[in-house]
Amino acid sequence: MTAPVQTPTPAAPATAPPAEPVPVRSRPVARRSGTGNRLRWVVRFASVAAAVLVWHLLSANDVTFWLRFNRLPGPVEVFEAFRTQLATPRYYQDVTQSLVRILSGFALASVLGIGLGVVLARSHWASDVLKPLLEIARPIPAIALVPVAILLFPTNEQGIVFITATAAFFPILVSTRHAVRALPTVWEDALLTMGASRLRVMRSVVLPGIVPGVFGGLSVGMGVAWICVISAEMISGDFGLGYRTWQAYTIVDYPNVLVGMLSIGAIGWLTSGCVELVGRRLTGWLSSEQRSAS
Amino acid sequence: MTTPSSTVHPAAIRASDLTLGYAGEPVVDGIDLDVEPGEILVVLGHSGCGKSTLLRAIAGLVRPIDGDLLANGRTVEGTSGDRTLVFQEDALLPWRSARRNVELALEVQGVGRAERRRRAAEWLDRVGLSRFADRLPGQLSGGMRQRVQLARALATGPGVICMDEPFGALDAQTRASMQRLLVEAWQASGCTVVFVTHDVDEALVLGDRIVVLGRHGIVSEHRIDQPRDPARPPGPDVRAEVLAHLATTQSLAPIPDAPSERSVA
Repeated sequence: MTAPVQTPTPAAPATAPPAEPVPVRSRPVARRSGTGNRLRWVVRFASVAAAVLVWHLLSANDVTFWLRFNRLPGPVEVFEAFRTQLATPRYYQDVTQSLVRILSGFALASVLGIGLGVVLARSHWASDVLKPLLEIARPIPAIALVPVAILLFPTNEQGIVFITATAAFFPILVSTRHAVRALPTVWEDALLTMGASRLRVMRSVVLPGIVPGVFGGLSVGMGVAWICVISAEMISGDFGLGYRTWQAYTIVDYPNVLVGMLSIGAIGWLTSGCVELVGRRLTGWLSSEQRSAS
Repeated sequence: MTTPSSTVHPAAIRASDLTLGYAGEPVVDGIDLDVEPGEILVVLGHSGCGKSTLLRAIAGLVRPIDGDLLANGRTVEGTSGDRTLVFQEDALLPWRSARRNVELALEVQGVGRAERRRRAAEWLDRVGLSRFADRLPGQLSGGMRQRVQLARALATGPGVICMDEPFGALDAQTRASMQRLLVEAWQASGCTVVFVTHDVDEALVLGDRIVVLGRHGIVSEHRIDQPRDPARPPGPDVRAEVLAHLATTQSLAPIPDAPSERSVA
């Protein structure tokens, strides 16, 4: 009836456990040799150059088969117009204006989208109150809110930011909600059995755990925000890349229409790249996970 | 840090006529169980018999449907840092290094930064992972991750550690070394261990006591009256007795009664 003989020796150092196969720290497979990388950049550059060349040939020869390239400005013309624009202060004013609108809209959408996404996923009560409203609002294209924005907001500026924010809000909200729901319950259970409060679970498990999922939504949100800021500017702006592009079209200045489009493309790419970069920085641990899973 | 004498202290865990389940649906009922302070109690049972549920109830993650569940004489009303749970699946946070995972438990309990560092280093050393302290869980093997979990559970010095088939996913050799490590760590900390498994050999190697759990409570209790030695597990008669009781708990498929040749050491 006695327990086995154990002599509990407090703080007795345990003997070293037997050696186990140690996983080799390996680099991700994507990393290539220097020459391989250079070659890939050459291919990327050549792809863009080839597209410009095709464009030039089509417009310089006034090709018309079904699509008509005889009135489309060619790359040389557009490049000239671009150079003129780059020397105009107004161009920078337009770029800045669009950037300010998109960044404030995107920031608003991120804060609200992530915050509400977490609350909706974690609280039945909040979900019951808010979800019907959000589900009804979600299918409405943000650009269809322009009339409402004009009625609601004292200034055009605020209206445009509102539309941009609404556009980016839903993808961020939805991906955040999914990310919270997809968290393994064992992480939360582990923290609770350490004596953690709900607030601590939020801080140490939920918020860091949803980062990969949230960044998916942020990327999509940034893309949609650009679509909407440009459209809103075309309808009701006084400045901005979208406004300027539409203006150029109404005065039949086609080269500058393309300058506007290319500017939007370039800056849009830049902002999405920033989101990607920050996302990758914050989710470096994912690569080690995937390596161990394979 | 010494093992409390069982004559003075009340039961570390006491369950009386306990019914457990999820969403009001009972999984197991009629559990009467005392866990003595400082012992390793192994709960043995087939999958689905409710042994994990029992463990989650002790940890405070599942509320009993009926009956009483006491920890140190007080009703269990939720989780507490004094009853921690080690899971079979990987419960390490993948974005925190091994060291920061161990520190997490101390962080939750409000231990200061310098002390956290010191104790995390001490426990990682004890489980033989000092060299890997800055690795992410994804860069560690399954056995190493389980050792980090063990260090994390023990670092705060909880009174009771509940272990839910923690070595179930490991290969036989790693499993045996983890069992040794657990016993050593348990001796060093003096905590009470409630260990759930469906593996009779594991139960025999680890337990001071083994209880067999069926759908309607504890079927049998076996006290192991010999020094704990992984190289020489309790004899075939004890094993046969435990297996016989285990067989009564399952009506679907018979238990093969040929003693396995597997060595647990």
